[in-house]
Amino acid sequence: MRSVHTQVSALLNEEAIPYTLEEGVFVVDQIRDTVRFTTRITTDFFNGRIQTLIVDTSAPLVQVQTLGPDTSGGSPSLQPCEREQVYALVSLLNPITELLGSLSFDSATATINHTWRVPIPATLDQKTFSTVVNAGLNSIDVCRPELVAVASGEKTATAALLKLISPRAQTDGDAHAFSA
Amino acid sequence: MTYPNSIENLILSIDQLLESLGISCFVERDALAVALTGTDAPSYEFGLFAFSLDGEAVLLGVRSAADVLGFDTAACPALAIAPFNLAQTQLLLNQINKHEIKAGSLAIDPTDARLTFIWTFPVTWQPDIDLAGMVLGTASAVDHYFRAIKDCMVHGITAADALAAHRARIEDSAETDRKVRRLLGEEDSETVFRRLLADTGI
Repeated sequence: MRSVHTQVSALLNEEAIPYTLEEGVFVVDQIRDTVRFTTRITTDFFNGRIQTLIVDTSAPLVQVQTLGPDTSGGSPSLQPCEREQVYALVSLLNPITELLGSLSFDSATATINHTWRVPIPATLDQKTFSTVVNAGLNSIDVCRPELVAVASGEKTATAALLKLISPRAQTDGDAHAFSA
Repeated sequence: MTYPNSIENLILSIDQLLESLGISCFVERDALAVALTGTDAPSYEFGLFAFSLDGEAVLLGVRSAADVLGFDTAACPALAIAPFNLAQTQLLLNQINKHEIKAGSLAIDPTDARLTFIWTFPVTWQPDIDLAGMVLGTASAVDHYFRAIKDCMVHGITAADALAAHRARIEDSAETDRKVRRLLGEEDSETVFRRLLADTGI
């Protein structure tokens, strides 16, 4: 059976998607007192919306990371009260089931990260892979503008959340995921 | 072929797997639930739910929740936590979600102020005992971080201090584990790491 990272590489090759592969990286996880063996694949997959695809061969889990420094629109000069607003919004959005993955905020770079780690089957096919990655990306696209607005200090968490769950926004189709 | 072919099949399959582990669940059409006893959390709810994504992939959701405050917050959960404590809790949760947790996310549920873990992922293969173990393991994050979250939410300790205390507890536990393994003649993680390095010629 081919390893998971070999399969992911093969899928990217099939699609002629350029990527860099950093294979065989030992990660000493001091928190869990374990050693993991990972492969880091960096690619512009899906129009640059994915920054890093990490295949953790010990789980195996695929970790899709999006919303890096170039796309979050955050301002490093955020005031403490504005940073609190970002923490608040991230905290309010994480328990929403329709948001696949989790959000976290790096205050040093004013970057909001979206990470979705999913277990993958022993044999990975293109359709499954695309469905998984697209689902994760679509779920974050819904709230991306509001996240950017709060991360740049333009809006409060409450205003952003109201926009995401308001009936008008649902009619517009930009907050459909939160209509349930 | 993509598995499972229906939400009901997925839930029933996992229910059978959990039954084989001695865990009896309350099963509905698209969800199951059970109360578990934690090490730090007195008890926490563990549940699974399934839903379809655009009629194609079937996603499995893992949810676990524990009551941290110890009183009913139904009347007004938003006012149940002091503002400073809430800000520190959100800071701590952000740190845990960013650096510590392996999958899913921890949050304070705005509807009842309970510590909640959620993880959703697609299931495209026959659920097996590894899957059951994985969802139980990840869902125990509610128990694993319970004391640190309670330190912030209830006792008003800063996020940094709560995380430092949590890591000290983990280190104590790991050291005890290493001692036990040495007594039993088993390899500890440091030995395993050195062997891995030797095997790969580094």
